Amino acid sequence: MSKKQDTNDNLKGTFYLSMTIGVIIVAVWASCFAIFMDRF
Amino acid sequence: MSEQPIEVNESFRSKLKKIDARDAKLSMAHLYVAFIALFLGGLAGLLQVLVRSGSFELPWGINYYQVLTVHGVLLGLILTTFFIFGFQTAAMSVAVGTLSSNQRRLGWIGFWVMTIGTAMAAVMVLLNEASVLYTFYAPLQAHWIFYAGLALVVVGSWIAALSEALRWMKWRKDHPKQTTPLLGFMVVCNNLMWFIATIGVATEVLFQLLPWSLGFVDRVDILLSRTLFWSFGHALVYFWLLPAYMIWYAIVPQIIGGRIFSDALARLSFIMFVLFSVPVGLHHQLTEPGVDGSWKFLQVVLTMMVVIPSLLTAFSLFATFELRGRELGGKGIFAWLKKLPWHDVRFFAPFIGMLVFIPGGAGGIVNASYQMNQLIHNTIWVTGHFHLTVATAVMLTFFGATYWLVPHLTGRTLTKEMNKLGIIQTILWALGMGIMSISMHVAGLMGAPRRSSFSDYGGAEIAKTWLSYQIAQAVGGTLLFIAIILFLYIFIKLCWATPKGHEEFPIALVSDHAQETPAILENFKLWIVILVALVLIAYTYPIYDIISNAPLGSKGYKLW
Repeated sequence: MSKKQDTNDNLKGTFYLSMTIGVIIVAVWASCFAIFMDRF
Repeated sequence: MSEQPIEVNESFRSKLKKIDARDAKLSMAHLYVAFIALFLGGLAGLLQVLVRSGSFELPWGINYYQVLTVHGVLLGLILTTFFIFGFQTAAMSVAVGTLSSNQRRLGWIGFWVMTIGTAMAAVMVLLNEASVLYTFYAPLQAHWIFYAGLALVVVGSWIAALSEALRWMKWRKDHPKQTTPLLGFMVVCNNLMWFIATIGVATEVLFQLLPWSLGFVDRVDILLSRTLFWSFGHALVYFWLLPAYMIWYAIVPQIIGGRIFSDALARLSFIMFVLFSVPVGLHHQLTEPGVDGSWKFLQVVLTMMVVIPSLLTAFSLFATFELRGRELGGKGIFAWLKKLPWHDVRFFAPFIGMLVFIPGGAGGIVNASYQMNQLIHNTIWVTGHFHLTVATAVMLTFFGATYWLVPHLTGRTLTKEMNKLGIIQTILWALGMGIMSISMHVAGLMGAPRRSSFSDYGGAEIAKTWLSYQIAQAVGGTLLFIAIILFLYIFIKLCWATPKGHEEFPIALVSDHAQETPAILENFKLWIVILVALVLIAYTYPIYDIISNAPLGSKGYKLW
């Protein structure tokens, strides 16, 4: 396997960053849901 | 793995690198109008936050809602539409090919129709005959010239879009069985979505608001007008966003020296945005009586579908950045981030825009969640939300693009000094918007309303808890206005003062590892059929129901 292919195969950072976006979305939604449940 | 023929043909690319001077003139004409709107609309925004801080009163009897209308119309409708068509004209000319004389003539006709419409609407707002905010909800009734002006802006944009579509179709005819240039494809997607979306608002203006404001009819069906408006209003958000996505997908990779991660993924994302941007307007009307809950629920589900192309985009962009960062020697899970060109404003500004879009999008999911919408509906949270999405993610991307686009069009260069000022301008904008938008979000959760001048409500206890956030909004808004002045200074320098030379119009190549783009992604007949079907499914019955159970309607009101 060439060095270039090794480089292109490594998308660990992309994976973690994409997951982080998911976590942010869930956290914002859950926080607002908690406020919603508290009020309504 | 094969690539797109247009993307790999370097000699062909080199011929397209420099925009034709006649197309550059057309593009620049749009940018001049856009940035005049930025100055005036930004000034109106500054006045608003100062008024809401409680320590400033508008002089000479100027009405707060007049200023709010100036801000919303000039920034939400005029700045964006003119910048987008200016950028798209240049993108089409460079990526697809120089416009023919007839196509350019159409472009100019579109520009002048939009400009005349803008002037008509602006005069009425300045005369205080149309303080109806940018959503121009009935039964607030503006002067008919305001509505006619906005209708001309829409018609002008259709003409400009037709000019761009004709150029793309000509390329396709000249290059049978080849995948069209990505940037051209994206422009066509955006214009298609815009055309379908604006049919609703054009119907509202032509058949409801104009006859009503002219006195031909006494009353207007409020619910129908709002439903037609929002069939356009949410797609408007994507009309702002998609050009930013064009820059993120097709331009930024070239700026950082990388490649587009996947041409097919980019096209798939755009097709999904086109399909799921229009049949979703009812999620702006979740508290609206008169529309059955099941139709609102259907449109909420369709709204949530845009999460898919949004996350595809995030993945694709991160992958582009990581591959480039590692190519430059970056190691570890995140250390490659350090290798990206943080000192280049052409990258820095749109990147900050991308980052801000993450909380902006997360907030949007809260807005569109059927029940939770009650938490934030008509609060200043919503204002904070779209100041993160359009006013930060989109605008920072447009600012970043301006820094290379304008010198490319004027035959000048982005100097180190201007680049540095651009970085400062970006930081000021992000800081100002961060302070203002976070304050808006928090105050909104505490119940502070939007579209309200000072909101002290006669000294009510709850209103006192919002005051510190309103002062913070004034601080943020002041920083933003300083950033606008700095941006305009850079714009003027790039137009007339920086050294002459050649500034690249950066269009990225596709990665060698990307798979071939499936032909179906360019089958617009199929996508148009699906789009029209989705719109019909989402809207036919609700509109039939609204019309068949229509109340008497409302007379017009001028509450300002």
